Amino acid sequence: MQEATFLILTALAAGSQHGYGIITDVQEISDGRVRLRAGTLYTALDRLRADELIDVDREEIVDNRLRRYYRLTPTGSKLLAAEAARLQANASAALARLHLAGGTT
Amino acid sequence: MSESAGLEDGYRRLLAWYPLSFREEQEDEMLAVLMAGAEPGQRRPGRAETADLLWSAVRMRVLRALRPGPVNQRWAGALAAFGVLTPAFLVIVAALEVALPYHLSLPRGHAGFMAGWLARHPEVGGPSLLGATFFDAAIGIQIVVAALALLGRRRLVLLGMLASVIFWLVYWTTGRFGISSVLDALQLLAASGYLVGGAALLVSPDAERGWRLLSWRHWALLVPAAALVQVTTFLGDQQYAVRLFFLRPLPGIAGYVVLTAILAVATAAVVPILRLSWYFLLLLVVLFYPYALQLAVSRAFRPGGFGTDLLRLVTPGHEAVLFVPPALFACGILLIAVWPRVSSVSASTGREA
Repeated sequence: MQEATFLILTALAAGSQHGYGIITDVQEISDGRVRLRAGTLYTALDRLRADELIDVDREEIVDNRLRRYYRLTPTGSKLLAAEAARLQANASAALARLHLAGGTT
Repeated sequence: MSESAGLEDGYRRLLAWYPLSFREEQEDEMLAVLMAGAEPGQRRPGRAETADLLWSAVRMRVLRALRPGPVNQRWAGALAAFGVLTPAFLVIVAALEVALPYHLSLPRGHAGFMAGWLARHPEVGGPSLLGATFFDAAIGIQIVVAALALLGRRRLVLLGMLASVIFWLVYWTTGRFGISSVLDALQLLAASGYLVGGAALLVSPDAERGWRLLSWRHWALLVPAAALVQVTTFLGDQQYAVRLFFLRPLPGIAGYVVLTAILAVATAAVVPILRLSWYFLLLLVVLFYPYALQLAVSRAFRPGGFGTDLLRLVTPGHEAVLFVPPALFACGILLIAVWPRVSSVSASTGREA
């Protein structure tokens, strides 16, 4: 799973969000390292919807502009959980070995 | 017109590049996100923003066209394999250029900035090429670009291919104006090959999938095909007295033709023997195009016409013949991938599946 996809799914893990909310949340989650642009975000959202990992939650009109909220589907939640576990296992293994080798962690 | 209205119009013009079905549903929503992210006082879309929107529009069209469906699956598989085989083929050809221990005698009467280097190397070829800075750079570029392609790093590959083509055009231009009279045919050919490779990569849905679809049988096909390219290049290089180490003394033109024929038959025979799809042979024919073109007009088949070698004395006409067919091929693939009617058909097929 690409990092951007992982971060988008993570941004939706706690609840539904609209497009701009996802962009700011991804920036916050990644500590400012990943800044999604709108084109990249909507291409990813289009693909994630087609793969049934996310779905539209609701729509609102704010300041005369359409705001659409997205949420994780059960399949999306499972995939995110599996990917997070995999990354955690890899990170734990790396840190354990660094510790064994006497590296600074 | 207010600043925000001008900016909104700018965004709408860029969003027009997205698929119609996407715009009908999400144009206003995406516009709201773009406007929310704009800087205060911004009058028009920034360069990075424009590039992102245009690139994403192409990518969305391609991804939608390749979504799962009975027809799309087949195309997606073929294109994924194409995206891996093409850069791999270019790397093998480049590696064989160094790995094969042939020798290239110093041509007479050459002058220019490479003259000093040539004078120090009266015979070059095979592993001795590794001692030449120029060849290091040339082969290095090819291998780096192809390696990035095999790893699926699309943007870096596109930049690398663009740099490569510009590099060879500059090299050719300096040659035309007498700075160097030595043109490197194979490298210029590789530049046109990159256009085909680039097209393959752009429409490839997934490099990892391409790797999974290929077995040792496909790689067994690539090796004789790449060797065929190298021997064909020797044929075109008759005036430089290229000699393969195992064919001393220098064979006549008939010797090279026989060797070429053996390799061509071996390549074609691998397909039915290993039960490969004929698609792969067709793919190799496309990749072989620029090399076959050089052979057809080289001195090998016109012994008296020293000036007829396509790439030793390149003209704009020759460049067009070299670059236009691969470029048209690339455009054709892109058009098929992004054509709205095809996308909508693909989308409906995907829903039915």
